[in-house]
Amino acid sequence: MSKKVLVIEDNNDIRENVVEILELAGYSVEAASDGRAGVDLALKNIPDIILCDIMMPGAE
Amino acid sequence: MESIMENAALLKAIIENAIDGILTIDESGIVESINPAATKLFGYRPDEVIGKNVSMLMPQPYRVEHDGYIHRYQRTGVPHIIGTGREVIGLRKDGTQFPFRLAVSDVDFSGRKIYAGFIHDLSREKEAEEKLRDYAAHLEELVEERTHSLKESVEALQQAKEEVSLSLEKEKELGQLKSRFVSMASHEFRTPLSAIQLSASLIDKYAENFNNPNIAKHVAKIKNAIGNLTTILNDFLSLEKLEAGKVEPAFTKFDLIKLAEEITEEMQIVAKENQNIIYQHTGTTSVVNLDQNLLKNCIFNLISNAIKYSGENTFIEFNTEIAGQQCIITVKDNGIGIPEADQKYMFEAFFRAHNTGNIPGTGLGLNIVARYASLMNGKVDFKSVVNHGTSFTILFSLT
Repeated sequence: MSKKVLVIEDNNDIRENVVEILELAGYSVEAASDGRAGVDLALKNIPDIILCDIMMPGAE
Repeated sequence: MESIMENAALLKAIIENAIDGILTIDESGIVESINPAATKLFGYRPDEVIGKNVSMLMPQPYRVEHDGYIHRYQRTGVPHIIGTGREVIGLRKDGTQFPFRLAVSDVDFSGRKIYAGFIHDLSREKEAEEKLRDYAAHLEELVEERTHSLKESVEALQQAKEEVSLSLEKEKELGQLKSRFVSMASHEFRTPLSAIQLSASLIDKYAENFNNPNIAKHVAKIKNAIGNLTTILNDFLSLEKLEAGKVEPAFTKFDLIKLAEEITEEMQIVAKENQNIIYQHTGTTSVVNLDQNLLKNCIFNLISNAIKYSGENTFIEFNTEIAGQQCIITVKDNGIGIPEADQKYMFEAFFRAHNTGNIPGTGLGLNIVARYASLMNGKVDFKSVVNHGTSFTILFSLT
């Protein structure tokens, strides 16, 4: 069972690239584009690690 | 008898030759005698005056009132001019007027009363007085003029001051605008740069199977260019934070050897082929009280300069030393060195030595190092010989 990573990043290019790299490395990845959606995802399916950008809309 | 005659002659001579005018009138104001000085003053011949009312020598309104003055004195016995004298105005035959001092005495003579008037011309005095008054007025004008011009100067100065403070204000606003722009631009540039870097890594990954050295070469070039750009943007951001006074050192106690070993390891990865970073610590203790982040930044900067400006197959000596109350950090390379003429400008922002050729750089690194060191009460210095190498030291006092 692969480790679960949650990526929270508002920039689409960066988020998609990070997700792709992590998937290539064999992780199971979920992504959100703002803090609120990230919190929702994290609560629904608790990840092993969260990679989160700082200073994003809805990230307080 | 003879002596009385002589006395009368003497008196007459005195009166005739007196400088002041003298005339006598009877109780009704009729002129009985007038001396040459008086006739000359009023411009009449004696026969034009004698037997006439003395008021002919006065301008209006005194002329019509003179009889009244005499009657009042005779009725009340209260003198207004007799015995004291005062300044009055005389009327010449030609109609002009002149000021004079009039002293009147009443004389009982041969059983009747006569009045003797002594006339002292004041024209000259008045003129002098007038001149003095004019002069005083002129002086006042001058003072006023000067005061006015002084006031104007003060106003001009005040205005200049306001203009200066206005341009200072504008400069400050421009500075803030520049700050906001640099910080916005640097942040906004870094985001797409990160995306490019990640894409380059992915291309690298996907291209592995093609086994094409050209793909690998160009991906490496992209990554290298991104690295340079990121360094520049980081320098800009650091400088901006320093300029805005936003960098505050947080002093903590930490192990200098541990930090230095970490840095050496990290820098060894980005060093050129066969460039070896040799780290060594001297001293029995290794704990310092500094800002770990700022110090790391300083050393990073110095070592990346050493890597950048020296060739492959060289050693970079990185030393830390704690001796007595001093901590000395040294980074020494065998690189291109700094020309002597450039050495005094090395810590100025955006300055680069003239022998850097096409080696990329902003000229900000050493400026930032010096400022970070100074925030931690340290001092940066260097020794350099062109084509032999450069040795940078940061000196901290541990007291």
